[in-house]
Amino acid sequence: MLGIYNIMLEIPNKGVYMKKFEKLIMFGVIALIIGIFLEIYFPNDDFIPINIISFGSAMICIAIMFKVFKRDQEPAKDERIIKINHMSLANSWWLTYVVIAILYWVNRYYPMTADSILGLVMFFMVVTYAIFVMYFNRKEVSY
Amino acid sequence: MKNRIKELRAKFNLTQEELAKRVGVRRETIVFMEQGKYNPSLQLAHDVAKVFKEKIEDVFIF
Repeated sequence: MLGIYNIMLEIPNKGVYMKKFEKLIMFGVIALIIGIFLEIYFPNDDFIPINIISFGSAMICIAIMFKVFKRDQEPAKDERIIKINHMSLANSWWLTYVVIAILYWVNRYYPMTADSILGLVMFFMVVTYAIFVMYFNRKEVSY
Repeated sequence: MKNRIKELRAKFNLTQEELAKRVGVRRETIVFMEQGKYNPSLQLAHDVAKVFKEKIEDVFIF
């Protein structure tokens, strides 16, 4: 998810330094407002508002981490980071696809709820993405 | 891929941080490039060569 976010906020002009901290805080607050709005006006469905609120909170946490580690003044367009994000997303997507295929067959013999499957897939994709980013950060990126 | 970035950096008295800022990448990217663990794009290779006022083929050894 963070990879997609980095790509979305890519600035075309080389050397332009953007403040990731401020943009993350802005997205986080918007997500929180939307989540709270949905919770108030659609009280019957808790699943979506809770996830949006969690997403907004996560954004704000990431922004604080950026601030703590002073990453907000670094160039947004770092080609190595973009390559690592692309590779991590691609690998994470494939692994998640494999998990979905396995879950399909598991579900036939041991029926699972939609909530548990969605939760598992969401968690798995984010975690594998983070693991791949860590892995490619240490490994040689040769293409 | 081997390169002469470290040598040229010393010649021009540039730190990794300064070179990174000049070409618009993170310092880690310069570190990996110097170690030969990252092959830069043509654009980045061109920018690095331009900083050192050299041709790409004189900086990066293919």
